[in-house]
Amino acid sequence: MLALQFYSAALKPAVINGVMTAGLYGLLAVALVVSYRISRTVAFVHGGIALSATLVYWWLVTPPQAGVAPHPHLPGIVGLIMVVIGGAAIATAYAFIVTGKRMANFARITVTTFSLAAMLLLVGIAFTVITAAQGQPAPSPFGTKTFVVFNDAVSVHQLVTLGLLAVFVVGLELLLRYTRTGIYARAIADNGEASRLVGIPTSRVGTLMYALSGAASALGGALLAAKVGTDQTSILFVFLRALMVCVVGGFGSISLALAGALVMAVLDSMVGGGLFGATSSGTREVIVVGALFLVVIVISRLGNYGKAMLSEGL
Amino acid sequence: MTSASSEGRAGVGRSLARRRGLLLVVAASVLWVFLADNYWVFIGTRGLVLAISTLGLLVLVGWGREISLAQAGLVGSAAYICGYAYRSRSGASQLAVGQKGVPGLGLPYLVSALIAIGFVVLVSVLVALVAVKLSGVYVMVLTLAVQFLLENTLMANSKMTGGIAAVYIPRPALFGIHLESTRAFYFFTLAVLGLSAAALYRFRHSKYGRSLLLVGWDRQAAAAAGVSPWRYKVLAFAVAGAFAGVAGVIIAPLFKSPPGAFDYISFNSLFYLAIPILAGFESLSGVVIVAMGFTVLPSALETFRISPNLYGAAGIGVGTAIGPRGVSGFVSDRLHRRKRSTPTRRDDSDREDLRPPTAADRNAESRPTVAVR
Repeated sequence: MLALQFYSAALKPAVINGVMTAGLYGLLAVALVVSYRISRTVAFVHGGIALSATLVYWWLVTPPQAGVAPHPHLPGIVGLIMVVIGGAAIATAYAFIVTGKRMANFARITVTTFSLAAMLLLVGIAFTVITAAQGQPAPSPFGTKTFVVFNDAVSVHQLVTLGLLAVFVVGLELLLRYTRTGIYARAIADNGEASRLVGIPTSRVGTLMYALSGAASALGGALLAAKVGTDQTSILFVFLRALMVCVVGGFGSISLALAGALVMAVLDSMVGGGLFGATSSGTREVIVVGALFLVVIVISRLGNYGKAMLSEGL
Repeated sequence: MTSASSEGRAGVGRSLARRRGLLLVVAASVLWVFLADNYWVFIGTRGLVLAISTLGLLVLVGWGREISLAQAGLVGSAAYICGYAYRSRSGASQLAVGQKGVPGLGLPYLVSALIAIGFVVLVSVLVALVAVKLSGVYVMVLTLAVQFLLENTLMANSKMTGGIAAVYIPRPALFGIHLESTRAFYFFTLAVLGLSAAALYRFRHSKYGRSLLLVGWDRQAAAAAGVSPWRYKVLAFAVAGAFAGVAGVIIAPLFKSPPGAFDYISFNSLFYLAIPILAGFESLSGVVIVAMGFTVLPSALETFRISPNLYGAAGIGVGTAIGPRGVSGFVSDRLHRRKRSTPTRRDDSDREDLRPPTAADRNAESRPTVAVR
């Protein structure tokens, strides 16, 4: 039934909206890929950083309301910078722990499990300290201006999010290609043990990469605050999408992850925008999760290439 | 010969001590109910239900070495499906006179429970079939995706959850025994937990349990020994699903009006995961004790308004730091060491135990151990 309907008028707005949303998925996906490449573990801590960044950003910039504890009511940009620095600091602290002497020899699955604990801890602290009305959006740091592209309203917020993602990815690429630290990071990503043996300061480089990825996930979280507000399910939903995008990209490639983010966001937007007729959120989820399973099955059937891609996990 | 007979006597002594300990635990878990008020009996029942669902997770995480982030979703799904199938066709509500309830199918409780458990096992097996050849991280992501899928489909369906309307699920009468009172329901849940734990114990010591442990430990070694990793991973997912289903079908009548879907969101799956990780993968009783602690402690500290996520974080964090043997292994080691340090003559093996751990020991720690108490 779903495949029989196609509303072509909804195509362009759905694509535009999808491209704009891809920025949010992309920021979180890039954070996950960067930390994965350096540690070969999935840093669920980025989900915690993103979620707590959303709450903290909301608390910092939202105007005070009656009956609610006072807020600092800072300008959006100031709040954004503070949250990004905070995210980088948390990721640095996490990196110190997981690259430290005690945990360095732990199995990857154990470290990944530990990152789940870190995520829960951050979320627990954020929701204990900050009381926010579920789903209340925060003001965007880039204003509320919108303009129309192909009959779809595009906000400056969405555009800047996409721009920030592009800047972050280009900056990261330059860092990885043209600096000594970047070369070290690539060496660690290729072979951590050999890098350690030849004297590369794996712990220091790893911490720096974690800090960068923490900053990216905090940025993504803060930008999410203006879109989905403080609803933890919606934020986790975006984080899950970022994880799925990474699965599609095999967790190893930033460019594949970005391509995955684009495809996922456009697909989500097309189905949600009614391109194939009216659908509930449940149907959308069935389609997206079904597509994910399909991709994983196809990759696992690709023979040696697929096996290598998937076994790179844990 | 003398040494063999003394070892035999020690084995019998340990077995007797264990049986005495078990009897004491059973007696305590029955008798405290007569001293506590209904609120704490209800909390205790919730703890038992949590223990049932996390025992299933122990099979998957501890023995099968796969991490599922969908356990809360599966428990919630079973609770809602069982509630829907069991409540009356008219949806008659006892919550307020004249209030219209949400209609169900009006099936007998056992039939409803079987349908719910069957659904959850089916979902688990489907996930397993996709995930079984993938590495751990993909299994995590896929199970998280399934959790979100359940949240957005089944748990968002007002026919199942009741939406904002009142849903009444009566406590059933099984084999002529009414479970209406909080105490009766506690004993029912305790019996189910006891049976589940006994079944798991038997399973673990059967050839199937040993094969599953081998698959979890080293998939290639298992395949070389003629054990199909594929089949046993699917089995582990199915067992975990079945236990989630059993927990869910008890929750449905326990609360009379099932809890909101918020109780089964993805963060709760992490909370569930924390329990076997903290308890350790060797001890069934350890999982039960930690599950009880994770239920009773937040209720006892309710005035401090501590987020359940913090308990989960502490559980996973401490469990990870201690290692796969968890708190139960840690406590057991301490007790064992104390016992062994009592004799005046210390042999070489004692000295070996007291040396600082080496990297080889740490690697060995990450392997599963065989004994399950």
